[in-house]
Amino acid sequence: MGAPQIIVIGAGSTGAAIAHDLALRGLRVTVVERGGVASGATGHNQAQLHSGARYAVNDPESARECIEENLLLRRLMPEGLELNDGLFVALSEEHLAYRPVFLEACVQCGIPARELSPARALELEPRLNPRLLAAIQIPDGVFDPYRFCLSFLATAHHNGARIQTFTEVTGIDGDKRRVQVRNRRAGKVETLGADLIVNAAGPWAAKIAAMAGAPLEVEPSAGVMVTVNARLCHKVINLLAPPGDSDIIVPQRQTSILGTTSWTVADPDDIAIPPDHVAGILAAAEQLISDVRRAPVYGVMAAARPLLVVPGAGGRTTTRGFACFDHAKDGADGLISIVGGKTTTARGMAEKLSDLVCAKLGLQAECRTRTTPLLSYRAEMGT
Amino acid sequence: MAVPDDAYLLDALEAAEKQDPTLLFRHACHHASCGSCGLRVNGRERLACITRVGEVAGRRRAVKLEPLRNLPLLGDLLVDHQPLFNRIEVLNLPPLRAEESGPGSETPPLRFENCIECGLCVSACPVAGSDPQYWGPAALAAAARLVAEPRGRDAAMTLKLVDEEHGLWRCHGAFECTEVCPANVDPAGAIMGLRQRLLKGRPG
Repeated sequence: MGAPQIIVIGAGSTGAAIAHDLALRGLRVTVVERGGVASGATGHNQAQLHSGARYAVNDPESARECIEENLLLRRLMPEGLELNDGLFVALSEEHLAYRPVFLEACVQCGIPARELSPARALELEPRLNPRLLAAIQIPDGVFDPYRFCLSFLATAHHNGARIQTFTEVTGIDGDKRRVQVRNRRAGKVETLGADLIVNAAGPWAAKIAAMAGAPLEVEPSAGVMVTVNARLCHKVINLLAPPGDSDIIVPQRQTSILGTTSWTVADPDDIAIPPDHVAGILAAAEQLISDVRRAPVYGVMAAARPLLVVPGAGGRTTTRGFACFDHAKDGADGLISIVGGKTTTARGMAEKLSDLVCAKLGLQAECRTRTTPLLSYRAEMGT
Repeated sequence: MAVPDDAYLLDALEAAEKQDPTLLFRHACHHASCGSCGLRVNGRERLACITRVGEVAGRRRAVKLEPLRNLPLLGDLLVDHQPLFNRIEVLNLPPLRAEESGPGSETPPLRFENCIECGLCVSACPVAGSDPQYWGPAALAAAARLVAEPRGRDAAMTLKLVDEEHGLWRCHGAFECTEVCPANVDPAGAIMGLRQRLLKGRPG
């Protein structure tokens, strides 16, 4: 008897990391993805390797996950990250008042944070608003979302996983553990059998679960990003304030990604970018780096974050955390979904999900992704 | 299908995909960093994500879209970048480079190499079309980057690898690669630079 067969739906950061984890545990993995690698929410995210500092005050659990995974990824894909740290910058008395709360939360979450004098911050980042009142350095970084996923998938492929991109799921029989897919390249419809099906479709996860008749709540929260064709800073620049709109500038390669906004959309396939968001993002970025507008706008994009909905104090609320759902209770015993999280925490999310897969299959297989370096994004992926 | 002039070509392709789900193309970052959405627009290599429809539609309000050349075609506008990746991987070029300007910092900031490995240069290169064994502009530019900034790799070995018939000496100097490069890498300039370096080192 061969190893159990797992179908992973989605080749964003979550699906890619799950494929890697399960393949390392010796399972036979097939990834099916509607489009190309990272063509959904992961591909056009803001590319920020979070230190967790942004979430330290309001969502400490997510913050702890971020710093743990941030430190691990530095060892696992050292050539896949621009590691120049980040700064939280205070521009007003209100921001200064937030400083002690922020610093204490960073300590509580284990995020190394150190204060720089405004003069030192300007020395390191000469284009920062010279009127800044305080700056705190934290270990943020930058990745390339596409290559992040390619690295995980190439490593999974090296360990036996099959990566089927341009393969859209058209039906799921959760009980019989079959997935019907349309191979978009061959124009063929096929049925794939599995021992378990993993739904890692991000903002599309509810649609996938519905195919198996299983209810699943995901809040597709769209965010607009504006990219300018100039590298305005070396570090990720954040506003020292509770998380809000348009308060981050992420330098990547020769560009800077400004953003972002947040509003709930009905359909992650249908995001209309509100024109005032672009103006608002540029105006807010100008507060952090005053000559932002001298750089030509290079691209405007929007993606839907797949937010996890949890019961909160005042009803339902969302978090940057994640959760795994076993749909056995919904009459789809062969289907597991994962919702929420962030690209930064994809490895940790995959570990939890893969633990659940192994528990369901009655397998004893240790997670090995904490110590197994990832292959180059240029390695063969087999498609 | 109505597409406003200020829409990006990639947005138009995504809208077209909704009407025709069989349409195949690649995209990820939407800001000229992943290098996956290259194609030929009216015969010229471009990235769909940073090309405004109005720039290319012309008076007839039509554009001709074709896949990149000189890479294996998988269908419609979809090509396989793996041969290009393999060429650069043979050179072992580190994806990270030092930032030119690191004012006042203890360690120079790092950033990803400027080349996004999109293949536009490979598609535009007249030699790549006639010699399948040619290293191609992107890989030769990568070799030049490694020679300029070895980062612990073996620059002499790299130079030796590309100092061959299908390497540096195969380039005709058409400069099409530099013309279409969306990341200002200037592969043709890089190739000429490496040639000069080799010629200087050779006895008369």
